[in-house]
Amino acid sequence: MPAIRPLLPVLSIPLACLFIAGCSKAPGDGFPAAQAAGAATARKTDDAAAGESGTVALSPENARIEFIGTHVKGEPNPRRGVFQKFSGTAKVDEAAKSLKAVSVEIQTDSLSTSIEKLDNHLKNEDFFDVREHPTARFESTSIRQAEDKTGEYVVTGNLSLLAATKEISFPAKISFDDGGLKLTGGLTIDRTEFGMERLQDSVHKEVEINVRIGQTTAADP
Amino acid sequence: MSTELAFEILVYGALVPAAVAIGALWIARRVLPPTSSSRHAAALAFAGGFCAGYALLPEWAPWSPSRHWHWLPYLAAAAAVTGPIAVAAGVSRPERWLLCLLSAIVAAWLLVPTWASLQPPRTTWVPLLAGYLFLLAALLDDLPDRVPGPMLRGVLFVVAATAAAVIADRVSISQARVAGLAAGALGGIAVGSGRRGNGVQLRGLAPAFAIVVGGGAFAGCIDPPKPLYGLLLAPAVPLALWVCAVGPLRRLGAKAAVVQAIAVAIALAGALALVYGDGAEAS
Repeated sequence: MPAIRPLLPVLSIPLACLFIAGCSKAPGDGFPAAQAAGAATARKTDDAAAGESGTVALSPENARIEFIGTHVKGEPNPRRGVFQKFSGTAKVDEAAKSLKAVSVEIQTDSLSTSIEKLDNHLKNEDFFDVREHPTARFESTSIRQAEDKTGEYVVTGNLSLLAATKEISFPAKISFDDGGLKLTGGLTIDRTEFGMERLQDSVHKEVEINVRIGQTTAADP
Repeated sequence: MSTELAFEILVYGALVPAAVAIGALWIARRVLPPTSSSRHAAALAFAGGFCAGYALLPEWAPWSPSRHWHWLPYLAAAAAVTGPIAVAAGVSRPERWLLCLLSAIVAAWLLVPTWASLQPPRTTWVPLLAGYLFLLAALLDDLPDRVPGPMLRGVLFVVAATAAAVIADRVSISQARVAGLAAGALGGIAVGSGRRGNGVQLRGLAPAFAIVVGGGAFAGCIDPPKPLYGLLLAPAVPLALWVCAVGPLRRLGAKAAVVQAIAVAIALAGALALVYGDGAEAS
């Protein structure tokens, strides 16, 4: 059917449209880099890990960020994971022995549960979507002492995870001793509020996050 | 897996694409002239089934593309247009290949994500994927005229279903649901063609199969931190038929069907062995 030959140039139209559309909006555009996580505790400011002027550098060597998810059906069978790569700072008032601010940036592809297959699943777009959102971030906005509870504080800040940033608050025990500043805190987030909405019939939307600073923090789960 | 999710996968992800494909085949045979129907029917049925299933996926599969694989339904629709025209009478082999190459380049450009962590980088993946999709489409293009219809239809379905199952097991249920749409549509084509359907009815389907099944496998391949390169072999399994029907083993005569089946089985086993070469613990 020679008559088909003149049609060939026409074929370039839909292809060209797709190509142009792809160029104008490259795959992955429109998805702000994800950030998130957090909590913190500072270590003693004269510690080798600590920075100057009351700033403590946070890393997996002196802090631990852990998450726990549970299954919906049957036994909860909690799965515990940690982030093996993150960095941040804790600002402390040396004289008052108080924590002023804390911020942490997590490399989400460093999550580890010690189960390779589960790690891969948690990293894909069903959950942390680490390819599109390689970082998560927490930045405190206030740290105030809990009423009538010595040593207990309420840490409030912005948690950026996937494409969402939400204000969260969590209780934390903060203390200073010879080892420096220590913090232990935890909270439960609703992962769907951050856009982690898939597989709610398999994995509860509530995810527990525990944070520890200033203690032995080997990054194994 | 919940009952609701299983229902969605079975009905929306398999039965609906199959039913739409069967319906499209039926309509194409009755509306289009025979010469035109043989080129358009399968490609239209495949794209129609895939897009209908895609429309029923949850909100994470939008029509406004924000991820690389969101382009798959558009590429399926485009291939349903270009594929049949490429195999029309009067179109020379170079012209056909040029069209396949153009389609493959566009598909690769859209399907390779812009992730900073992508390894090898996008600049390497785009030509690699374009070459892969082009070879897949160009070599599959010869098969409908040389392989019995039931054999070819069955192999295409089994390959797509296997790729989807592997993606579900090793990558992501969500991506597997997208890949499964292609298997559903190909299953519908296999059923809708019936016993009397010959391979010629699949002419024009090769580019759509290559881009959608090959592209879906690529999306699954690159998703894990350690790419599953074996997944890329799955859509290429039908090329075992090419070796038997067009390539070096084409003079087998009556034994051809047996050899073709064995070749496909070996190729599929090889692809699976590569994917599962290093085991993973259950989650």
